[in-house]
Formats: sequence, C-alpha cells, structure tokens
Amino acid sequence: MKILQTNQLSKSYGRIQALDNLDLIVNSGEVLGILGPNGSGKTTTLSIVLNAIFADSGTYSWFDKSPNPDVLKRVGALLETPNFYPQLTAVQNLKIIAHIRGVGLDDMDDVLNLVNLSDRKNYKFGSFSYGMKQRLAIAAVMLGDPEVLIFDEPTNGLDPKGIVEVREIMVRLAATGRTIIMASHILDEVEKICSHVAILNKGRLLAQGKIGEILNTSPILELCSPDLGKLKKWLDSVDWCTSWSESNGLVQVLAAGNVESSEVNAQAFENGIVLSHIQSKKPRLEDEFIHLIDNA
Amino acid sequence: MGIKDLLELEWLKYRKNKLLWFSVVGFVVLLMGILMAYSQARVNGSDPSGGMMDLNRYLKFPKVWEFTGYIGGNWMAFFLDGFVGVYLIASEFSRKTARQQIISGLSRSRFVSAKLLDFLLFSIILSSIYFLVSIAFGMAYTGDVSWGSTVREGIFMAGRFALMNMVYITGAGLIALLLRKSALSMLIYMLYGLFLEVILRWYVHGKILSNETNRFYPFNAAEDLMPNPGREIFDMTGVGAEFPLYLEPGQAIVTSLIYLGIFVGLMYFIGSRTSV
Repeated sequence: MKILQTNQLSKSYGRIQALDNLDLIVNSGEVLGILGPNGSGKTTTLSIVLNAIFADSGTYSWFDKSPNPDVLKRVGALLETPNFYPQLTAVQNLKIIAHIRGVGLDDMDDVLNLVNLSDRKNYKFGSFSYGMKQRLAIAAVMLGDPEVLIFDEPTNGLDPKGIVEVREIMVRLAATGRTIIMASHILDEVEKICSHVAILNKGRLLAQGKIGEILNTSPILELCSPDLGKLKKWLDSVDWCTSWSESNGLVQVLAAGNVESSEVNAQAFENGIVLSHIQSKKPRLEDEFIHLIDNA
Repeated sequence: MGIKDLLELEWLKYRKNKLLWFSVVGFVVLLMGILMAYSQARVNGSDPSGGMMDLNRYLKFPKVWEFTGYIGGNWMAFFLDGFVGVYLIASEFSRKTARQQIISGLSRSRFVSAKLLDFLLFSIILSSIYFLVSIAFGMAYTGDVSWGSTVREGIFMAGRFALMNMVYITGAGLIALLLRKSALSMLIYMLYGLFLEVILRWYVHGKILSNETNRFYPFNAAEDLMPNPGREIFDMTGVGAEFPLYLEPGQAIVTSLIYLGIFVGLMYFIGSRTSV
C-alpha cells in the first residue's frame, strides 16, 4: 500500500529552487531515510506533505487520497524543532496534540516512558533542556499510535548523550514495523535506523530504494608497496579494480565484486609487486553518498 | 472540530497563561481605580454652565454607561485588545506552535476560527466587567433608579462595548497575522489607531471626499460606539457645527459591523494561504 506519493513537486524560495519536480513514493512498512546535504530539500519536502507550506506546483497524496488536514491525524510528525507552549507542562502540551488528533490519553504514560520523560512529565516545557524538548516532541509524534511517523533531523542540535538517546528510541520505533520517514544528513543515522533511502540534492531525487541497493557495499582494499608506481600501473590493468586513489602512502582500491585479499596478494606477487600492507575495509557510506552527489 | 472542540483547545492552551489573566484582572483594577479616583475629584469655583462642572454626574445613570465605556473602552480596551489580539496570534507563529497544530491535523481555517473565538470570549469578558463596574458606580451615585430601563440600556451599551472590543482585537489580530512579529504588530496597531487614522481623517480625507464622511473609518467607528461623554462641550463651543463629529449609535454599530466582517474575512483569507 502506498502511504505517501509526491508527483512533480516543486518549490522555490526566490531564486533558490528548493524542490525540482520531486517524485517520491513511500510504501507501507518502510523505514525511509531522506538523505541529503543541508539545503537539499529534505525539510521542504516534509513541510509540504505536512501542510506547513505550499508547493509551487505538483501534487501529493496520503494513503492514496488527496491531502486534507484530517488525513494528517493519522501521521505523527516532528518537523525541524520541538514546538510547544513553554508555560505548560509536558503532559499539558501532549493533551493539546491529543485533542487536535482526536485521540485518547490512554497511551500518554507509555509514550512518556518510551522517551524517558515520565519523571519530568509535570515540569514546564520552558524548563526543559533541548534534548528533553526533542524527546517530548518524539512522544507527541507517538501519541495515539499513528500509522506513519515522520522525523525531520531528530538528532539535530543535541549533545552526544542526547543523540545516543534519540537514536536508541528511533531504532526501537523502527523495529515495531511502522512506516517511518526520517530526514537526515547523517549517513550513519540513516544506515542504523532505515531500511530504505531516498537521496536528495539541490531539490532533486538522485536515487531511491533499499539501502543495500542504492549505496554500494563492495569492499575497499587498502594496499601499500615499496614500489607504489608499479602498484598503481598494475591496478590500472586489472579488471576487478573499479577505481583507486592514493592517500598518505596508501592506495585505496574500490573493487568490483568480492575480491579476496589473499587472491589480490597472489596476483600482485605474480606481477612482481611485493605488498607491504593489505587490508579489506567495508566502504564508508559517506564515500558512496559523496560519489552519488558528485555524479549527479 | 466544532466550536466546543475549538474552545476546549484554546482553554487547554491558555488556562494557565498568567499574562492573559493578569490582563483581565489589571483591566478591572485599573478601571475601578480610575473611576474611584475620578469620584474624589472636585472643581473649585462657580459653575457657569448649569451643572456642567458637576463631575459626579458622569457616575450617575445614564451618563455612567458612556463615561465608563469611554474610559474603559476607548483608552484601556484599545491598548489591551491590541496587546491580546497581537499576542494570541503572533506568539503562535514566533513559537511555531501554529505549525505544530497544523501538522497535527488542525486546518488553517479552524486555527483562525479558534482565534476568533478567543477574541469573542475576551470581548465578552471585558464587556461583562464594564457592565458590572458601571452598574456598581451607577448604583452608588444615582438616587432613584428605574431598573428596567437601566438594565436594558446597560445591556445595549455592553453590546456596543463588546462590538468595539471585537473591532479593536480583530484589527490587531489581522495585523499580527500579516506581520507575525509581536513588537512590530503592536507598533503598527498603535501607530494606526493613535496617529495614522487621525492623519488620514483630517489631513487626507478632506482633499478627496467631503469631511462629513471622515467619521466612517474603522477605529473611529469603533470609538464612536462609546463616544466622548463630554461631547456636549463641543456643541457649546461650536465645534462640529459644520458637520457632526460623531457617528450616531446606529451608524457606529452598522459601520463597525461592516469593518468587523471585513477583518474576519481577511483573517480567513490570509490565514488559509499562509505558510506556518
């Protein structure tokens, strides 16, 4: 079942094209990470589908229906920053959200427990640290057990302890099988939490699919030899070497397919190259992400 | 969400808001304080105009309705409505709580409706205070009171007082919806109410239209719902002989209702098209 679909969604702020004909599909049960550098259009996309701002052109649908405010009652969302009434307590603020969504207060204690705010539930929002505010916002997202959860940069502005806490909550939520959409520019976060990824840059969708399909998982070989010139020349000739780069006397090789280190060592020796260092590394998501962005 | 749900929503938001409660209490204290201080004032010397210098006559029925309305409405409520109207709208944008409500499923038109209900409720509260304070002072300073006609007149005047409040507070809310900044909105509201409309009426209007129609400006129409109780002095001095300075009550009511309708319409129009 399609939960959310955008069709040719465009939005500009003056001369800046924030979104450029974005087509995005989120299916039921997916934990989708919308990944992109700052200014890539992640928050703009979420703001439009959450009815906070209007698109210049294009359409979107929730649950295969035209958007209307009532449909958002089935969606829990944290957009950018936690926004609540400072003079009210955590519970009083959650009651306002529950009232708008038309849901009961039965799970109030559960959601506060989930975000570790039970002992501060009767404290004023204005007295909370940023991390606590963010956790309250996550509790508000969860209130009434909505079908879809949306988090926009959920760890933004948090200290390291806060980041760990919020990530743990996100991982727990992702494990429940709900449909989750999470915008982030932190790859590690997306990799740990999400099953699917959509990569945005300059308002355009570069790729969307399962994380393993979109971001290359082939290994990187780190090689070193007393004769680096000969090593590099040899790497240019072998078919399993997709590309290589040199840094601090080490040659990093992006290998096509699963190439065993022992096999590489044997081949190098047969070609008169003695390797003084060989290590197979899991590719960094950052490298793949930058590769996608650069090639867009 | 129906009216009851919207009222409940606003109650959840503001029932603990000290600023609003202090505003209401402050209105009561200040209005009563001014009237009590006034009641102690005396004029020395002879009265050349047959009772005009009897200050206490403004505290007796029926003059007390106009006098309390003029003090409590044209001055105190003008500032208080401006403050509350701006606060209730602008704070929702500056704290981004309007955004949180919209993304939680509240429609923009419902958001505006909730604010208009706040305005109506606040106007009714101030009008009730005006009614009770006027009754209290009227009773204290009037000998024989014909209660039937006095209460009828009081209800009519309280209605006018409420309408005046609605024009002021909705005007302030409209400015806040456009500008979203509390301080700037309040400044524009005050500048318009205290200076710009006066300049338009007396220095611009006459160059385009007849001066006689310069009474039909929004805040002037609202002001004339509670006209200056001392306006008879103008009659004595000849000011206003060429054309009337004040709208008749009926004219003020109709004109204010038209402006209120325009303000409400504009709030819905702007509110439904605004990003949060």
